[in-house]
Amino acid sequence: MGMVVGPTKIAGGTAINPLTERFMASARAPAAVVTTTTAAGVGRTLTALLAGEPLVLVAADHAYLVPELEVHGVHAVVGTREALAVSPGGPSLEQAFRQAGAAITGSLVAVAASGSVAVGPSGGNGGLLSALPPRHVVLVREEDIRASLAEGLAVVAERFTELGGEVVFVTGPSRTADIEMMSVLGVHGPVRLDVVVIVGEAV
Amino acid sequence: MAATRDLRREIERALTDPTLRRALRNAMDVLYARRSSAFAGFDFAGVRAQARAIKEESLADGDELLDLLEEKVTGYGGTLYRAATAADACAYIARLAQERGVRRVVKAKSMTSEEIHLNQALEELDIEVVETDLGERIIQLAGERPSHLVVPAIHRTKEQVIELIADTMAVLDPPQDAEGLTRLVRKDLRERFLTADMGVTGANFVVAETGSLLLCENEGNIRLTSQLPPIHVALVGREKIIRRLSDLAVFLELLPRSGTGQLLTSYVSLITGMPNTDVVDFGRATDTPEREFHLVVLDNGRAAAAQDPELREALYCVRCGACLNACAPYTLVGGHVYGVDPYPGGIGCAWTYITKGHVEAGHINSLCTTCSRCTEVCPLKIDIPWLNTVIKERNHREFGTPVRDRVFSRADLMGSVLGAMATVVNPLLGTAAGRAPLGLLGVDPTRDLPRYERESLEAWFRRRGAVRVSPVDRSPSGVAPHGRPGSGVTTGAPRVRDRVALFVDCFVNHNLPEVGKATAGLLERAGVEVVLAHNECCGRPAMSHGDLTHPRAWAAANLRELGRLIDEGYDIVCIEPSCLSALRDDYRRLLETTPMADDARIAALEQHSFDVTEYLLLRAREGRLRLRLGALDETFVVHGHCHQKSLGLGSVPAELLRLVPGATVVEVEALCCGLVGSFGYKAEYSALSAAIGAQLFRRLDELDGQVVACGISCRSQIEHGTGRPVVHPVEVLHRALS
Repeated sequence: MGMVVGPTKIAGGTAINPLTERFMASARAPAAVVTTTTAAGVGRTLTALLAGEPLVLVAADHAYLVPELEVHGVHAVVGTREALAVSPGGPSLEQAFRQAGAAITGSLVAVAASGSVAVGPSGGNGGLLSALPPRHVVLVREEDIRASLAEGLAVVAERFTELGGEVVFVTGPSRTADIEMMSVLGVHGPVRLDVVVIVGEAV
Repeated sequence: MAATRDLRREIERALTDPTLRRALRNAMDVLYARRSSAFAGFDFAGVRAQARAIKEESLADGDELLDLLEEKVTGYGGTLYRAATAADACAYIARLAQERGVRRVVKAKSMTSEEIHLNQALEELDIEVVETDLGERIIQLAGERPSHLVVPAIHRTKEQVIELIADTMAVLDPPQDAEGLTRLVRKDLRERFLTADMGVTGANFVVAETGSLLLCENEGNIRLTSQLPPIHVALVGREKIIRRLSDLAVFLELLPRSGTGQLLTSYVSLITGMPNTDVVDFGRATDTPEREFHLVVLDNGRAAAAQDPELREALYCVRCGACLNACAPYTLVGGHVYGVDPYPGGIGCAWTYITKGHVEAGHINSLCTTCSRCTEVCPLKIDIPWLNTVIKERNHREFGTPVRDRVFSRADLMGSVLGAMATVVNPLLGTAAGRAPLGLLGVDPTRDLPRYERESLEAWFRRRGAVRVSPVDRSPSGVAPHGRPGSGVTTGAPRVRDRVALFVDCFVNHNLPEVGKATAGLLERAGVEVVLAHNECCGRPAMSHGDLTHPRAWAAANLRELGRLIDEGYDIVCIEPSCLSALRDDYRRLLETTPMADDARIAALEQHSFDVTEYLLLRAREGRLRLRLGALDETFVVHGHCHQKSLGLGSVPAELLRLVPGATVVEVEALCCGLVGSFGYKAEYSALSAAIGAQLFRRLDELDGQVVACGISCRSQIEHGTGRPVVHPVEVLHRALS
């Protein structure tokens, strides 16, 4: 029922179970860029993906990523007004959003059937972080992958009272087919979605 | 008759507009194909039954759910406003905007907001309203109304969009590709999002137990609309309220697949209360740091419709637009012709009736041919043709029935009268000059009309007398699917019986008795006893002309007669698919609101009635079709009847023909032949009917062989449009009998 069933395949030294593989294949179909990493390697993977971005906004509930990114030359800040207020010389929230090339959030649950990832408040501004900047990088823990949308919704429902606000199931980057049914990626939401799956042992 | 002439001209204008035709054809093909592949391997019947059950509960508990919703919304600091009418909803939102000093509103796509003309109400107060969905933005720039439920600018080509953007956005060198155009609109709208004071969205569903909105989108504009401005107003019709969060899973399996052929849209947002995001200020006019959330729940005729047993099914609609993509008239003329602001197509007629009233609905009601292809694809299995039939009946009671409709609704009388005078009538109706007087009735005199036979099928049967049938061999044997003896034979209790009562439809009786004769001959050769039922007209022609009174009486009589035959061990076999569809699909609805309702007899009829091709094929699969069919080394090109397809029998005629040794069977792909009973004979629709048929004829031109079709409409239309003779599958099998 969506729980990690045990490794059946070795890839690059890390075991990937069938449900995870299914999720990754489903996520790629609507044009998300999917990468795997381990708990220990998250910082390295993100640095590699985001090198060259002028500014990266990080969700408050993943604030620990900021120093690691900074150390590797990726300029990152936590994307809430409260966090930014701590550094008086730094950008305002509005300036940060104008400059940001990408935002990083975690996720509540992921759905293998559709390749979707649910993003909640994420410690504040989860909605804006996953909607405004041209790139959204979302971290998915292997143990949070479920097979079906119904199961995904059940996970969200369980945590409902603490969640409130918006929970969004994201499937690929934004798109439209309003002009002669031609598919165009990147409309008002992000132009690119990166899904980083953390495989192996739970943190 | 003024409305009729305008419609005719509008149809002709649409049909002769090459840009519109090109845009529509492209879009319809894409949407239809995407939907089909998204549903491959999906339990459509099962899931849509679940969806119907949720909607049924939703409507039954409507008032309670609204109260529960209000409690939840108020609980998280939002405001729920119950708007009785469109004007009421506009007034509330406008007043709110005024009181807060709102200067700029960003809007997500919402058909409900189009229904109430919200933009106009706000613009009258000098408030700028910016549509943010790309398709809506395009039509906003063009000063138009949406023509499709899901793809508002479906009627526009890329070239037109380029021109539009160049003009209205004053761009000197506009991009020539869709991607470039989209980037341009993204940049332009981004600034408006960031400086808007209020965001207005609709919602796909509202969950009562949590007070949550569900919003599906691909572009991301809905999320920005609901999160950036400090005030979020969500406008929903009250029929969108469902009880449980878990109910959403069922709809999310259906809606994205039906609407855009996706497993899920890029964003599926569950919004409960105000977003707990910081309010960002990029320079908006108002200075409101406090967030506000207003949920405007609109009645505007919905509560009354929920109490109306004949119309309430329209409230099941989830606005996916799949019906439009399967509708032959819509795919040719688009939503501006086949629609009354803002709801297009067949379902649009019902929605117009509910929210605006019957006069407006009457204007486009008859574009629905009742072919039922829409119901086939509807994720809530809404019987759209039935809704339109009911509306037509109500309009006729109110405004009277045109003479032409009275004539066409009595296929039984036309048959017996014209049949009796066949020797005189046929030559007269066989020439355009002879048919000219029919022009006064609103019939197109350039169309061929069917021939009438002097001796009806009933008369022939009486003259022929009883036929001795050899005792039926109960062991499986005889004809099996071609090439593999014994294969495809089903085991278990036989689905079909050895005694058949032929339903005598008005057309086989008076126009095509040869098909009835071939049917009787074939069945008797197979050892099946054949009698004729003494039935009344199935009622379909009358129903499609807004008469439900005669059909109800006939249905009650038919249930008695056919019920008696079923009790005596006969299966009811129909040669005209439209009649079978009346018996199996319409009789229940026709009678359920009357004292003549008879669930047991209707269930028996549903169980023991068959299309003739279906009966024969089932018999063959059971190994009980004892026929020696000689080889026919010919090609047969099969066109499927709309009602057979809506009954799930689309592939049956072709499969039946494959039983003939040596036969090559090709199925031609087309939405509809376009005649659909009397639709194509009517002056204002004959051009549309011909255009629908033309799509089929083009494909037939590419295929050599004997054209095969069931039902008098397809046969007449194809013969008239291509000059090629058409036969019924039964006639082919009869010919193959050695």
